[in-house]
Parts: sequence; structure tokens; C-alpha cells
Amino acid sequence: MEQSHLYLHKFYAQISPGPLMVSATGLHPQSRPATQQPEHIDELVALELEHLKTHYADEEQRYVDLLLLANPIVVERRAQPRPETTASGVTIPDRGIQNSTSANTLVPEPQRQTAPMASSRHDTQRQRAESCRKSRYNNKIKKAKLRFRHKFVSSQLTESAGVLDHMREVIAQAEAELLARGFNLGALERMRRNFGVDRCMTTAMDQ
Amino acid sequence: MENYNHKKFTGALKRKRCQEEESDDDVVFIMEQCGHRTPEQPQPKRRFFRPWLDESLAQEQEPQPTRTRQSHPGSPASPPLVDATSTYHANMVRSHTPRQRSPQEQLRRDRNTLASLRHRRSKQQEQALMEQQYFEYRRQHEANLQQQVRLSLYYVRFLQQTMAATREPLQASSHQQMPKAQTTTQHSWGVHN
Repeated sequence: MEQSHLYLHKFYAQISPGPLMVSATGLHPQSRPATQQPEHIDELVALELEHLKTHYADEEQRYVDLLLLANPIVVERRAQPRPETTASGVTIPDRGIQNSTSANTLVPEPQRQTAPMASSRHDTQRQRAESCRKSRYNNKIKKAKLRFRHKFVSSQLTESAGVLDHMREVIAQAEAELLARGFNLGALERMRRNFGVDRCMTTAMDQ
Repeated sequence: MENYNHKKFTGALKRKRCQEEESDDDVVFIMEQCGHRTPEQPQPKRRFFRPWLDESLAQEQEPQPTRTRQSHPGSPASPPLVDATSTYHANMVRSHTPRQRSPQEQLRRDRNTLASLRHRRSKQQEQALMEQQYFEYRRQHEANLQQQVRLSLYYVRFLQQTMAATREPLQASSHQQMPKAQTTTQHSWGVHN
């Protein structure tokens, strides 16, 4: 599931041609990256992070919906509903109805014109029972959604940690080669600080 | 979890349950039988809190819907007494005959109730833990994403540029082709899909 990595590629497309286009300002292309301010970098990072977070939220929602469809929540009735309620076709067989998420529209009980003698106590009682049932069902759904979200975030976390490790390896190789060509170590470390590369050290081994 | 207190066995409901059997024996029986497993409570001044025996306190008015429900001819049985200090929601009051149980049955019921309450609480704690873990993982993932952004920025904007810059003087001499900064950096990261 390399979703987040593929999404990052759009970012790569944005950032790589950038410096080459500003040579018209008279700045030497090679020196431009070296003079980038940390604040500017922070802005870019924050912007891209917002995009990634929105993307994550969308993916999470989609995943949860998918799993909910695949594992529909079932709440059974203990007793049959009252025979007067036939208006909206909510006649339910004895036991074991299955509530898929899309069908969870509880139609409010229509007024019964046919039974003017019905006691108000039965009304409230039935309302209460329906509310309780609905509440139980919604709670079940909430619990299931939490489980799915937890599953999703766990997988995303291991994946992102792995990707991070890989990126650090590649960067370490590139840095080693640069230093081998005589690049100044102090300047390198200054650039690392500028970009905030050492902010939070987490590896896949921390999981 | 031995000192788990639940309102069914403390306070108003215990008072209510006990007042239907007009003796202390049952509760004493239960509390002695269950031993350490019943909820520990601070030692009371008297065995049961029964203010109507201590003083003559006027009972509060019952809520209107309960009153009409009680007086309705269609009600199946006499509803349970609503205590002056009980906190029941009028709509929630169930009207059923309180079953008479032998002490052993009541003991069994109480044990079952406590067990189920403990189980429910442990499930709640499990859920809370999962939720905490979820937030923690999510926070960590977002930190990872930020690092990914920074690392890629660092690599593309700085390392690749510098590599290209430092390689150029050698290019004429060694005929080495430097890979250009790529729009899709799959090659440069060497990540398999």
C-alpha cells in the first residue's frame, strides 16, 4: 500500500523544476538552494503537510466505509414491532434483520389513525425502545469505526516509518558521496539544520 | 478491580432494593457471602439509609408522566416505588413486577450483575486504550509525513543540485552522464512499488 508515497510524487514534481526557473533573477542556480531561509522551508513543509493530512483523512474515511460495507453491523429485534405500523413498509420478520449502513434510516413512526384508543404510555414505551435500539446500533457502529481507523493508522504508520528509513539511507549515501568530493561538512550540517532534517528520529524499529 | 463501585449496589438503588424486603437480612447475607468481591464502602453510620424512618421527611412529588402512567387502567402491574431521592428519568422507568427471589437466587443475580459490570468496564477501558493508541499512532504518522517532506525537499533542492554542481567540472573529462533532477523521483529514491 504505497499510497502516501505515490501522493508525494506530485510534490516532487512541484519542487524540482522550481530552482531552475529562478535563474532569471540573476542568482546563480547553485547558490540559490544554499540561501533558502528556514522560514521559507517551513512554509513549504507546512503547506505540503496540510495536503498530506487531508489526503490521509480522505483515505481513512474511504477505508472505514469500505470495511463497514464488508462487515455490516447487525442488531436484532427481540419482539415484533406493533402491527399498526405498516405505512412505510417497515414490516420486519421475526428476528435477525440485517442493518447495512446505507439502510440505517430509521423512519419516524407515523401517527396511527387506525388506533385512536392506543395509550400514550405504549407510545412513549415504543419510542423509548426504538431510541434505545438506535442508540445501541450507533454505538456498535462507532466501535467498529474506531477499530477500522486503528487498523488503518497502524498500517500507514509502519509504511511511513519504512519509507522514512529508506529515504534516510539514500540521503546518507548521497551525503557520503558529496563529502568524498570534498564538500564542506560544516556547510552540509548547516543545510541539514535549515531543512530540519533531524527533527524527529523515528525508525521502523521503534514500532 | 475488587473495589469496583457501581450505583446498583451503592446509594439510592441499594436503598430501593432493600426497602422492598423489609429486612436487613438479605443484604447482610449478600455482603457476607460475597466477601471481598463486593464493593468496599466506607463504613456507614447505620446499615441502610432510610430517612423516612429517621425523620418524617415529606416525599417529593412524582413527575407527572409517571403519575398518569400509574393511574392508567391499562397498566399491567403496580409500578415500582419512586424514591424521593432517586434520579430516574421519567421516561425510562420500567413498570414490571419486581421478582421475588430466594436469597441464593439473589446472590447469584448479584454476582452475575457484578461480573457483567466488571466486564463492561474492562471493555470500556479497552476501547479507551485503543482510542489513545489511535491518536498516538496518528500523531506519529503525521510527524513521519513531515519528515518525509523535509527529507525530500532537502534531497531535491539541495543534494541533487549540489551533486550536479560538483559533478559538472568532471563531466567533460570523464564523460559521465549525471541523472537530471527527475519529476518523478522513483528512480532517484529507488523505491519499489
